Amino acid sequence: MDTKKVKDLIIPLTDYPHMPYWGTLREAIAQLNVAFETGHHTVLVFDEAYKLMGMLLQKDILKGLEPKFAQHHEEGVPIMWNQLLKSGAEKQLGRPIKEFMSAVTATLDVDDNILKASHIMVDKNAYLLPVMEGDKLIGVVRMGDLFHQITNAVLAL
Amino acid sequence: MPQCKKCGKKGLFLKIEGDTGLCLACNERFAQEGKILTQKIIEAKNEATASKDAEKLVSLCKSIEGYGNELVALHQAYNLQPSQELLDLIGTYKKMREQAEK
Ligand SMILES: [Zn+2]
Repeated sequence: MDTKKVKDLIIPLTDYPHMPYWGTLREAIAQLNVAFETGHHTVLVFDEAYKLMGMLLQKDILKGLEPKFAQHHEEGVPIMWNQLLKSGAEKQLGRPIKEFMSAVTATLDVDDNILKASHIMVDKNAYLLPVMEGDKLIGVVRMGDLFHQITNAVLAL
Repeated sequence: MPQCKKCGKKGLFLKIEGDTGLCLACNERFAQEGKILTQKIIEAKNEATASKDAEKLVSLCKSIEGYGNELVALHQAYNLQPSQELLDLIGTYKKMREQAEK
């Protein structure tokens, strides 16, 4: 199949909503609501030197809104799901996103083949990965865009 | 012997931040000033992304360039290397402003 490269699917960092790590969960939600129509569902998190620190994904926010005890559901602790948001979400909304963000677990190289990129995303369970050119961060790639490219290429075989 | 890259303080038991090479006091001062500039950069950047008004966009681009250059200068004052992300951001908004001004 035609071997598209990561560089064909790269999105510049500036397209994504940005936040400093000390911003609150409430502010992050507001950012994502503004950006919702653009299809960007992630906030990039920066430190005080404007260096990328991590990413705040939708799942990080949903997890962040749950009170701690909800995590014991799998151990058989009964949870009042109807009452869940009332029991602590308000407090969580004021907390810094640093506490909820996902660390960058892998990076892609700008010349990586998209199938290699897909392999790394699946392996790392990551929906968005930073793209490097040497040691220079030049943008991000989304799983959705890889999916679109790969599946269309497969159907055309 | 550990030595701070900014104030030159040294001592056997001086604690140096691994990622900046600064003593804790200098590191804290850099972080405080950096936070203020980063906050301003990010607010202007997010506003620029959402902005549909050309004039407003030019003014936001100028703000981003201005705060960005201040943050680069802050790095230099502390003998630190600015991040690629910061340099790219300044470059991107400089280009965007030049396009919009045409
Ligand atoms: Zn010092």
